Amino acid sequence: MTTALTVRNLDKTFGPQEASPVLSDVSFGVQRGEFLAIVGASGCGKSTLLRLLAGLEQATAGDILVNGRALTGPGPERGMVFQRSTLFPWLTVWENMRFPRRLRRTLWAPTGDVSRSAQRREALLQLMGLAGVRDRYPAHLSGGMQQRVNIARALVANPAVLLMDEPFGALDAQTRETMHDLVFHLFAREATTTVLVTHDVDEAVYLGDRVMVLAPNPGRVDALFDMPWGESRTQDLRMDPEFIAMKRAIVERIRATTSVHTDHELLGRMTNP
Amino acid sequence: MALTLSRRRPARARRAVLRAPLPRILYAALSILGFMAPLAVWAWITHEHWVGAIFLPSPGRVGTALAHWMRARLAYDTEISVYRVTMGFALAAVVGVPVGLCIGVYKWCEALLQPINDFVRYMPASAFIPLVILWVGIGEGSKISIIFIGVVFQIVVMVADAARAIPDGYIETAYTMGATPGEVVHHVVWRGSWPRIVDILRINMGWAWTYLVVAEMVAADSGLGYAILQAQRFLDTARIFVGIMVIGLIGLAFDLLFRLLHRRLFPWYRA
Repeated sequence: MTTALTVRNLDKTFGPQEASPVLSDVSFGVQRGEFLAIVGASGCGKSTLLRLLAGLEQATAGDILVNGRALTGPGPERGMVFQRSTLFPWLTVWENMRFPRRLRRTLWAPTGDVSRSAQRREALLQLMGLAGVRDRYPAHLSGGMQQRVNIARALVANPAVLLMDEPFGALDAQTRETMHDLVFHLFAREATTTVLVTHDVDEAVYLGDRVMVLAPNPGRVDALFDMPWGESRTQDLRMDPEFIAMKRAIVERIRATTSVHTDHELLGRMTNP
Repeated sequence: MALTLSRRRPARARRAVLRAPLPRILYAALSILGFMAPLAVWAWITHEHWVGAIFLPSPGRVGTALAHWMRARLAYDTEISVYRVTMGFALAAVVGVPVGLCIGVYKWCEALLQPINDFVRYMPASAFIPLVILWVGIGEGSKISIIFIGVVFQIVVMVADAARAIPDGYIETAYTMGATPGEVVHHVVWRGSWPRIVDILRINMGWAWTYLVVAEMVAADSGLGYAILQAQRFLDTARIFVGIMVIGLIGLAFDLLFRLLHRRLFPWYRA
């Protein structure tokens, strides 16, 4: 196995004189074909970390290497899926997936590449169950459908790493579970290297090969868990005692990092002034 | 219980439901009523001779004035006014839309042009008449200039807002697919704000017509605005009515044209 993504001693601070640290000394690696899920309490900087990986933000210090090369900005070798659909509403599903073809960098692509990527688009459309809606505009699709198109569009370029920022967060519970299975089977087949940021521990445990817990203030790597489920994941797994035990262990880690404790004296003063 | 209640609810109440759709026929009938009711009130007032004809001519008199004017040179007056308005408006669009986009996209452009634009925007276009005569003279250029001045600064502000309304997510997505900044402006900001820009142009077309009368105060010898000012001099109130109504009708036609264009061009919008 080779490393697709390496993060070394990453620091990120915001504000004047870089007063508020968001990420501090974050280091980890993602193997090729691996699915890494990142969870953590709100404010742990997990979204910022993903935006750094996408090249949409500049790190204050540290390195990000994609296939061994240092990152300079956003690029097509790192696909990104956001929580809210970012399909261009003025393009149909098919035109959205073809969007990269409008760009100068693909203008002089060899004919072989062009027909290969056309075939890939067509295959992704079929695999994601989107063949029936290819000529529809995004506004005519349900939220789940839209997010499928977003994922399919990010996969067209066959990215070295797919970055997903709570992509199922806005979907209802049933749609989310369907999406989990769809994504899991597609990614397993494609061996897509993925970094998923989520607040849903259940989702992280179900989809991840590894789950990384970030601690807040400032964001740093707290723990890494290996998921032992392998390739055979079905919805029944969610009821499995082992699965639930894993979830509990991760949730407990997240709680431990937030250092929220109940101040009984303060509560007493609030109820009887 | 709830069923009985809803069944008993009178049909009349349903029309009062917020944003409830109306049958097409009813919609059309109400639109016509909106025109007919003031006309009826107007006809009644003049019929009863409550107001002198100098102040409020009867619909019949206005009709006669229209017939007279049509036999004379209404077509020519209309043509020259449409020419002035569309020229002034088109120039303002050609200048205003790119400047507005630039302000909406680049912070340096916003810093450079937005404060001065907001400053000039509040100056009344009619106050520029003496300067326009001095600089442009009294030909067609001066009328076109006044209309241009009246709308260009509004177009800039509104287009800048439209460009800013494009969500960051669209721009960031385009970057992650390998777009250059120029391609983001072209394929995302420009394409995405088109429907709003057409709407903005529609609204400003309306404003351009309101500046027509002001523009034709400048040494004009033709045009609808000029005719209205002439009629005022001779206390020909009926003719003033005709002029105002013709402008209103042309404005309405342009508005419908823009709406039709909008529906044809942007089937994806407001789906």
